[in-house]
Amino acid sequence: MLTVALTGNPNTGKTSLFNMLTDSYEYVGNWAGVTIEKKVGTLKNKRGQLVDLPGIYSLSPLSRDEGVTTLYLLDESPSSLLNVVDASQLERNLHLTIQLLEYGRPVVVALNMIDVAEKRGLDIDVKKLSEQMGVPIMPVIARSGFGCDTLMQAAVKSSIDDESLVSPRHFDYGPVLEQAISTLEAKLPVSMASKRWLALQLLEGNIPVLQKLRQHVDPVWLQAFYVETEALVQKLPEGKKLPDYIRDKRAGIIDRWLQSAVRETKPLRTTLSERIDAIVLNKYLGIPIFLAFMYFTFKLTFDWIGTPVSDRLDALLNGVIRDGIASFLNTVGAASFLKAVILDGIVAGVGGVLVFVPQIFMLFLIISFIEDSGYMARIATVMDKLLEGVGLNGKAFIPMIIGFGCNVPGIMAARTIEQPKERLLTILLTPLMSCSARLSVYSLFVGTFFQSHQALIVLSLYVLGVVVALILAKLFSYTLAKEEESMFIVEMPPYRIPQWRTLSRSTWEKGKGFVRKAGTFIFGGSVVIWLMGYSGFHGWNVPMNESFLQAIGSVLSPVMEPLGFGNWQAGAALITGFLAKEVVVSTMGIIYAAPTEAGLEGAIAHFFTPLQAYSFMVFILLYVPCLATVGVIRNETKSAKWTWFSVGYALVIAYVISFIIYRGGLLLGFH
Amino acid sequence: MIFSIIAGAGIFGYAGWTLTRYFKKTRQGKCAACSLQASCQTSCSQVK
Repeated sequence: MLTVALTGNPNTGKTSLFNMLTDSYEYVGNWAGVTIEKKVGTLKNKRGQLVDLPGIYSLSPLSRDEGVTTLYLLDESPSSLLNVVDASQLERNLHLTIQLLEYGRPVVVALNMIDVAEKRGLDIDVKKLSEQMGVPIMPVIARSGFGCDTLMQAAVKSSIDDESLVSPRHFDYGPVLEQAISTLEAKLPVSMASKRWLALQLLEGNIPVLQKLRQHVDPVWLQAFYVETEALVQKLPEGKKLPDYIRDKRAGIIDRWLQSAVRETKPLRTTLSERIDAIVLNKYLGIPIFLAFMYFTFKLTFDWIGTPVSDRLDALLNGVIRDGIASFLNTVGAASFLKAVILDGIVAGVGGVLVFVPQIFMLFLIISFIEDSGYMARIATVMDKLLEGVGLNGKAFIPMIIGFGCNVPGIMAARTIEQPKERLLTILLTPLMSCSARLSVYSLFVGTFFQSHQALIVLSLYVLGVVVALILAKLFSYTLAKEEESMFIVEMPPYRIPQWRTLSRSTWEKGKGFVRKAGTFIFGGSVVIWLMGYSGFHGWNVPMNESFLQAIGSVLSPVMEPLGFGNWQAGAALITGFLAKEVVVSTMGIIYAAPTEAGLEGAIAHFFTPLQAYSFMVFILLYVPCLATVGVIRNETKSAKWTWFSVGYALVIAYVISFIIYRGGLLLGFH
Repeated sequence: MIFSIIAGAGIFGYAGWTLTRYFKKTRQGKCAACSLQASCQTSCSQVK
């Protein structure tokens, strides 16, 4: 079986190409860092497998996910390498290509986004460039599929019969380095493959390679060898550090290639992307534009599309469907216990959450749009300054943005952050981003108490989450070690109109989990919560306020009194909400035994005032990460201490802020 | 009556199964319990 490895710089369209060349569907985003693990798919012509590796600028890894590619090349032996190169950014992209050529497997270059390059006025003589570089180059447009079939054939062909390309390519790095390379090569076992490549990578400071070589060569000698070579290189007229020296040599090679094969047909004029960037990246306008964009998002989610659809769904669910189930149960003569568990437990609990599916899909649709259009990278850039000021970098905003969908993958995405301290900080703060599960709680409350300002109230909660995260980042960065320098590299992709197919697919991929969760965990949770409300110390079928649920909720209510929601119902919802935030809505649906949402909203209106409702929403936003998030924090930090810390600090912050909002609100005359 | 027993057992059995599975997955950590698992860009296997 052939194995073709897909490599390239971040955001050059590797994943798009992967989807075109294989039968599988993988997530595609128009921003850097989408692929963090390798993914494997079968080539459409069934001739072999394609491995999609994370995007990297160099084989020397900066972050954990970048290490995936280097480790892959060290441990596996792909039949060939398919190097995706952004035609409009050749100069930068080819640095990686050189390293791949040195590795010593057949390389085929996919010259992607050739259309974008042409629009920018670059005329690339593919044949000449291919001759210069000595590799097959295939122009492709991964988004439309142009050239993909030819590319697949070329990749398979090179894997099978192009023996000439199997031997590693030899680029000249000058006498000093060549001498050092030969010395190290001689030290390595004869059977070892890609010796020259290993030597060069070591000299470039590639840590995984160093670790590998230590198994074969005396580590003390290796260290001395590196220091000695570095000293020799620094004595050269260029006076550069070793990695910079190597980079310069490669830049020289690339220059020679490009000089004869690429020419600019028209003077570089500002592209549309650059003109848009001048506005959205403006120092003063950037953040207001982003906030306006978010406001517009919530307008769409709540006022214009999401809620109206949700209301219809609610009417359907609590009308026809509920009545249908009830009459069916009557017809078959179901026991009253069974009727209660289905109608007051499952329909109230699961249905209560399901009616908010339209809002959640709307929000995911817009997030997909932001990702695919290229605006996401701009948001990270705009936020960079703000985040830098609090000890984080712009890259931290990407996990946080993903956290708006679900905190769990947000925390996982923190792996793209190179600095351990910043990574930890991002992991600790991502749970403050308001995830889509919390959206169902807001939907319920804003629909009841803030009908005319739904979008604004929800926006204020999202912004509150971000602001609290920023303040805490500042606070934590004082206490956590901070000697490391931070670094912010994010690719600025050209804007593009997202394709409807990609958008709908990506929205569905994000949102289907919510629906599935309603059918599984929320279902189970609803049944258990209903059972706790149905039973009590005096037996079965007790009134709700004598039930076990009331007993549990009452434990918390005195503590919550100062925040404005000291009733046992809120207490019970908060406790069960730790399992998953949607469960807050299910619990309330069951407790208030409301057959319709209008009824649930009506019931809630009796127990909360608008100010109390706002204080409650703030508490829900901040109080603890849900169980799944706690699990992933434990796993990513590998530390019980930090896991407990993430729960503890969130509780304290939630309490303090809800207290200030409620008490402050009362003082200001709100109620 | 028979319907009630079968349906009741089905509902509680399924509820129990979903909860056990959820807790197990959460204990595994990573993305196992994540609602975005299928499309997740970060995937579930650990980076070594």
